[in-house]
Parts: sequence; C-alpha cells; structure tokens
Amino acid sequence: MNPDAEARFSEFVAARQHALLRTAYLLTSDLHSAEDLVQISLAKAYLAWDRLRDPNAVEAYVRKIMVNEHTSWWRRAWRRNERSTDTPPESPTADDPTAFENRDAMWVLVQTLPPRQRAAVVLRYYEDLSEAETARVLGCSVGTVKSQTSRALTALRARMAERGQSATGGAA
Amino acid sequence: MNDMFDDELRRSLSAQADAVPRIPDLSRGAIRQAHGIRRRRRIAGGVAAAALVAVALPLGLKIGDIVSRGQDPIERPLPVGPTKVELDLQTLSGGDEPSVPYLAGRTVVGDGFEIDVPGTAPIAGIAPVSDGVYVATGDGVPGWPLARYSSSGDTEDMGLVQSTPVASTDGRWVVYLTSKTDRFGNSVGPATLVLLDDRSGEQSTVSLPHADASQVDIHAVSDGTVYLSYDDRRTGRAVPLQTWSVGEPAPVPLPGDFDATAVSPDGGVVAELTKVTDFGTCSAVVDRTTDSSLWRTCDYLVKGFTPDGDYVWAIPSNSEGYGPTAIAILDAETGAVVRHYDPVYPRRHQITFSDAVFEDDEHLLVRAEQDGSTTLMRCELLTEECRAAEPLADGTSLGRNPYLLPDVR
Repeated sequence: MNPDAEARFSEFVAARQHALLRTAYLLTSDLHSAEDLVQISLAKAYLAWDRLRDPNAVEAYVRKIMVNEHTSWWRRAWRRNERSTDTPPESPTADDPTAFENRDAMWVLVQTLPPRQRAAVVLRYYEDLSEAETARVLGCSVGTVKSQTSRALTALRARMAERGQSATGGAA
Repeated sequence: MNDMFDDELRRSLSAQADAVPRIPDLSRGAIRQAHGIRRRRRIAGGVAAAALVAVALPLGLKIGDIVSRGQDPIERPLPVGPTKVELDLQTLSGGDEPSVPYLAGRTVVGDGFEIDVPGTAPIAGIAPVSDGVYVATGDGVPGWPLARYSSSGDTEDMGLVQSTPVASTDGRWVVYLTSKTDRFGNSVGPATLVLLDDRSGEQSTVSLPHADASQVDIHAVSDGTVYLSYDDRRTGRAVPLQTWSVGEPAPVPLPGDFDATAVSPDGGVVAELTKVTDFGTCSAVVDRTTDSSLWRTCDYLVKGFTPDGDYVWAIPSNSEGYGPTAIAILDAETGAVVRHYDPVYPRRHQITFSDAVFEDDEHLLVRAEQDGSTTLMRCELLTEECRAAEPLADGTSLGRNPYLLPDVR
C-alpha cells in the first residue's frame, strides 16, 4: 500500500473505529472480543484497501466483514462444541461478570438471540440501517431481514413477558 | 405498544453502546495483522503453488490425451495448460454470451430469447428450465411472486413462494419453498418443499415441520430427488444432509451426518465440512456409493459440481469477510487442482468472485467484482482461458448489482 493510501486508511480508522467498536460490542457482548473483531475486520479491509475507491462504501464494506466474521466465529465455536439434536437448548442467560455496564433486562434478552437475528436487530435498531442496507450487509434478501428481525422481536417480547416485566419496562 | 417496545430496544442498545470506552488507535495493530494475514497467504500460496505444479505436470504431459474416467463410457480430453491463472477483469478479452439464462439489469437473457421482467421490484432469483425460466421478484415480504416465462413469450403466475427457485442441471425440475406467513411476512408453521416437474407440469410437495422456509438449502435436484439441509427453527442449528424423493412421506437423513457444502447432481458424491478453525475450514469429499472418502482439503471449500460430477468449483477455505478473492476448479475424484484463478500479481486490483455456476461440463461462468464493477466471465476447463461473457458494469453486491447468475444445482 502506498503512503497516501495508508494515511487514508489510518484516517478512516481514527474517524470510525469507535463507532465500529460500539457495533462490535453489541454483536459480541464482550469488549475484548469486540476489539478483536474490529481489528481483524480492519485488517481485512486494509488488504483490500486499494480497491475501495468509493469512500462512502468503505464503512459498509468493513461492517459487512465484521458481521460475517462474527457469524463465522460463532459457527466455529458451535462446530467445535455441539452437534444438532432434536431438543432445543436452554436459552443462555448471558451473565457475563466482566461487563462494564449494568445490565438492563432488554440487553440481557438481546444476548440470547441467535447471531443472525441479533445482527439484524443491531443493524436495524442501533445502526438504523434500512432493510435493504441490512440485507446487503447480511448478504441475504430483504425478506429474510424482515423475517429475522420480526422473529427476534417476537422472541424478545415473549421472553420479556416470561420475566414478568412489562414490554416497556425493565430498564436499569 | 410496538413503538414503545421498539423505543425500549433502541434505548437499551444505545445505552450499552454508549458505555463502550474509547480505546487506543487500532490502525497499527490492524496493519500488523494484515501483514500477518498476507504472509500466511503467501506461505499457503507457495504450498498451494507447489501442489499446483505437482498436479499440473502430469496433466501437462497428457496434452491431447484422451482418457476415460471410471465407468463413464464417454471419453473426454483432460485439461491442459497452466494450473494457476492470474486475472485482471479490466483486460479480459471478450467472449460469447453465457449459454445459460442469466439476468442483465432486468432482462433475462437465454438461448434465443430475452425476457424483460416487468415492474420495478428487485429480481431475487432465476431458475432456468428447458424452454424458459422461473423468476422470483420482490423483497420477499410476504413472499416472492414467482412466474414462469417461456421462450415463446408465455407467462405463468406461480403465486407467492418463500424461497427463490432452484433448477436441476438438466432443466427439468424446479424446487422452491412455501409456508404460511403472518402479516409481517414471517414464515409460520411448517415449510413446504415444492418439486415441480417442468416437463409434465406435475407438482409434488413434502412438509418440513421444523424448517424455516427461507433457511432451507437445496444442494442438488435430480430425477425427482432433492438433497437438502436446513437450520432447525427451534434451535437455529444445522440439520445434516437429507434426501427426499417424489412419493416419499418425509425427507430421510443420509447416513454419514453430512454438513454438506455441495452435492453432485446425481447425489452420489458429497462435499462436507469436517473441521472449522480460526484459520478456515477443512472439507472431505465422500463417494456415497462406496461409502469412501475420496479426498480431503484444508485449502478449499467446495461449492458446486459439474453436471457430470467430474469436477467441482471451490473457493479458498479461509474466505471470510466480503467474499472469496480466488476461485478454483478441482478434480472431483482426486482433489487435484485443475485451475486456480486469482488477481494478477502485483495485486493492484483485488477481485471478489461472488458466485459461479457450471454452464456445462467444461465451462465455469463466474460473477466477479473489481473496483466497484462486476462482470460475468467464462473460464474454460480444458484451457486456462477466461473471457468476459458480459462486460464490466458499474455496481456490486453492495448495490446496483448488474448481473445475476441462474440458480442451478
């Protein structure tokens, strides 16, 4: 990479690193994992930097890498540890003692979502991406985005109800 | 209620994100990591190149030889020429248009026909049959309107479906999924797999009680049999490879518990994932008829077979992020690398090979992106030649996608 391009890469990282880290944390629930996720995504973007000539596309490109990389991490972990069965697993309780923010009920439940549903929720409700933009990041159809998001919201509402809290309450 | 719930969800996510502390600049670490990835790729490339040379030599020595493969009575020449092929999409010479129906803009271009898909809804998928094409349009909510366009100009409305259609390599069969949907367009209840015999018009169906219609993978369709896998909607986890044939009450899991990535058109050979690591995947290719593992690789991930099942196309096993930056053709019986395509060195232009389909037993049609543009190129199995089947056009899979390949398995 030539010095100009490397400078542009560093400028991009300086400007967008924190925003990417925030999204990565919402995907991973863990600051160290989020930092790793952002760094590997930036590294892969660096390798492709010469072809990223549209500045407006760079962040979408990195975000797509980040989401796919995270899904890949999850799949590796699953492949290492589990095989499919006919019995649904218990929902995880997402009780991470290293968290730096007091948990609210909604966030605890968000962490129980499968990774693709969680990514759809984060991109739609945190990044405020449109359904079409979310579909491009996730590499699926708009219909699948709607399906994943709606299923996630249905699950969140049901679990919130199970916890005996009102749908609007539960904030820390 | 819904708005308040949505607001609470936004608030919760923002609150968590707001609490994320600023950390030191990651650019240096990312650059170091990038150099490490590049080094590993070079080492892997060197190993692969050595393997390619080793494979290329016997192939090269057999230039012009006619050999038979297994029990196949049809003799065919073996591929010749260099195994490693470097590409620059901007300098590809022009070739014939694709020989399978494909989408350019809103026009389905087939053998002797062009069909302008009416309306403005995005085109989600096309599945070619012997004298026409099935086209799914829209954004999938509450489903994709499916229509059959014949080369003679007739159009048949097939109703709403919950997956894009997949055609068999012989152009006789078409598969898609349906299910009931709620008002949000979510699939509810069991998915129904529909298998259409396009020649007779007969339709067969089977219920998949635990499948989400939008999450079913069709790996192969042949002679009234479908090879499929899906994520169990209750757990989100993959169900191993199953098969279903017309007349059977339910799909049957195949012995071997395959995590399939591709299945030969006759179902006899399966490419499966055997290992997933931090640095990529390992795969095995298994001959189901003899229950034997033909070969294994940790270099490539197999994506599809030629119609005769003799060759596969594959991507590097560590392809993550935006998409594969190389693509290869391997011998399905031995795993020998026949062609490995990647960008010309030095890599001023990176290429993403976003999709591919075998046009026939000897031609791979590839959708490839470079510098914000996309082309369809044809790579010949028997020579090292790749030519542009459609010119580079603005747009990529991130937006304004100019071309779509047919879904044939």
